[in-house]
Amino acid sequence: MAPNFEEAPGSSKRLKEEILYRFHSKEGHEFTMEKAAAELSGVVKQISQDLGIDDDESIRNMKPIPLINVSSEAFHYVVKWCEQHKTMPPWEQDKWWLNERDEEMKKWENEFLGGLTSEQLFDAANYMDIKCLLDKCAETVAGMIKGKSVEEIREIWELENDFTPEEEEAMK
Amino acid sequence: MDQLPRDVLTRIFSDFTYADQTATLSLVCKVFSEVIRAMKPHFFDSIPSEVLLRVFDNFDLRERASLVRVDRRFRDLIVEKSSGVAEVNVLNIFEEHIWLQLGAPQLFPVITVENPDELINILRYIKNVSAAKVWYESSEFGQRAIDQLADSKMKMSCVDVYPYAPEQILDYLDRKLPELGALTMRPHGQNVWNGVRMTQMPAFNGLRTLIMDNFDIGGDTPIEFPPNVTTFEFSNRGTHHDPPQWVTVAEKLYQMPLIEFLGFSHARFNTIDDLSRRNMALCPRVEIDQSGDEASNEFLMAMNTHSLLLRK
Repeated sequence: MAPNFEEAPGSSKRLKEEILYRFHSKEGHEFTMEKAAAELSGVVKQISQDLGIDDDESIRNMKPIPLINVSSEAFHYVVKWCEQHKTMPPWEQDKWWLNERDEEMKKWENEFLGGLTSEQLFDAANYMDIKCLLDKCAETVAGMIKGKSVEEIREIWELENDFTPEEEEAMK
Repeated sequence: MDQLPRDVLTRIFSDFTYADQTATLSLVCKVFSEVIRAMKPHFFDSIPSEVLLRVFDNFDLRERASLVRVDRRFRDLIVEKSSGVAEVNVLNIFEEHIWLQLGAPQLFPVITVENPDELINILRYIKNVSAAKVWYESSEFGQRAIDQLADSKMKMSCVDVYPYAPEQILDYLDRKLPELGALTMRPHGQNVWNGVRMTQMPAFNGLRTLIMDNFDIGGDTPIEFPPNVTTFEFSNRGTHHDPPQWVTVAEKLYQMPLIEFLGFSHARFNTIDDLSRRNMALCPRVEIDQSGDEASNEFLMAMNTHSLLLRK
């Protein structure tokens, strides 16, 4: 079901006091994201750096960042994730799932990923370089594959066995 | 339910998460799986390779070894790009009962194989290890483990041989891995607590580092040390010998003319004469570990060498 973007946490009708980054999705919807949340994205950080934006006032005056590869639906989820994680300390561990976080956050994350109906988020997380989200997505996909045989994986996800018979034999 | 029109099924399924759709619903029956495929064609095509690499990070070696068989993209990502397969640092190969005797340690990921010949399925995906340790009691197991190491394309900086019985597999090791650069030999377990008797050593022409711990080489042993060793450590805690074990070794040092680092531990030195009477002048560089140790300083001057490590 398509989310309601007007009421979503990333809606453009937000309190003006917050320091917000603005974004345009692929479809041209405008979204906002609070500074700390938006800066979880490597791309946002990079863009601000390239534009020499280093204080709150210039963030406010910044034009919306066009994210031409990110659909509104995917962005809606990106905002939810980032807002939820904006106050967390920096990740020490390279692998996201090894970082300490409380049970409540883990539960939230699992419900969040469990509730996804689109794989577009994976692409968005990758495009926006949001490492923590990317790793959580990867963990979720891994969970889907886990415990399945090669044949089952091929069958479920329509992956073609593109090995030559000799190669197959060699791998047995 | 599979009699329902497909567009109705599509609408029902669209309320399920992607994971449920693919991992559960599509397995129910053929119709379901077709409907879901039509809804979400080619999921993995839409997953960028960077994400897929992170996906593979969630799997252990054995699981990855199975995933490489899915298709070329999986294989290439896992074998060529995935960090994990190359990250094995120390590979321990245990004969099962030894691992159990040790209390089945789980400090590291443990992969159990029914038969040593299956090891190759895992080793194939390891690019290099700093040490491969073989813990064995029967020489048959040891040899089969060596077969697997030799057949894999894995680079090994060092092989460690940990026998639990006086079973020798060194000849076999030399035959299978003649280029081996470093070898540590150390018997383990009660049966061999007092050392393993050794009467010969294979050629090991590639060997640069040799560490022999608790191997008993006896007095007038015909043992020949490998010719290209540059680092050599020897220790023997076992029964006393006359002359002491280290003396026997010292008298054979000329067999290792390239030696740069020499270590004796658990050795009894009485006087400097003990050392200087031996053939140790042939050892070109000696390093001192115990500064101010009178005996070793004297020895240095006498032998004009500067690379000897003495541990008492």
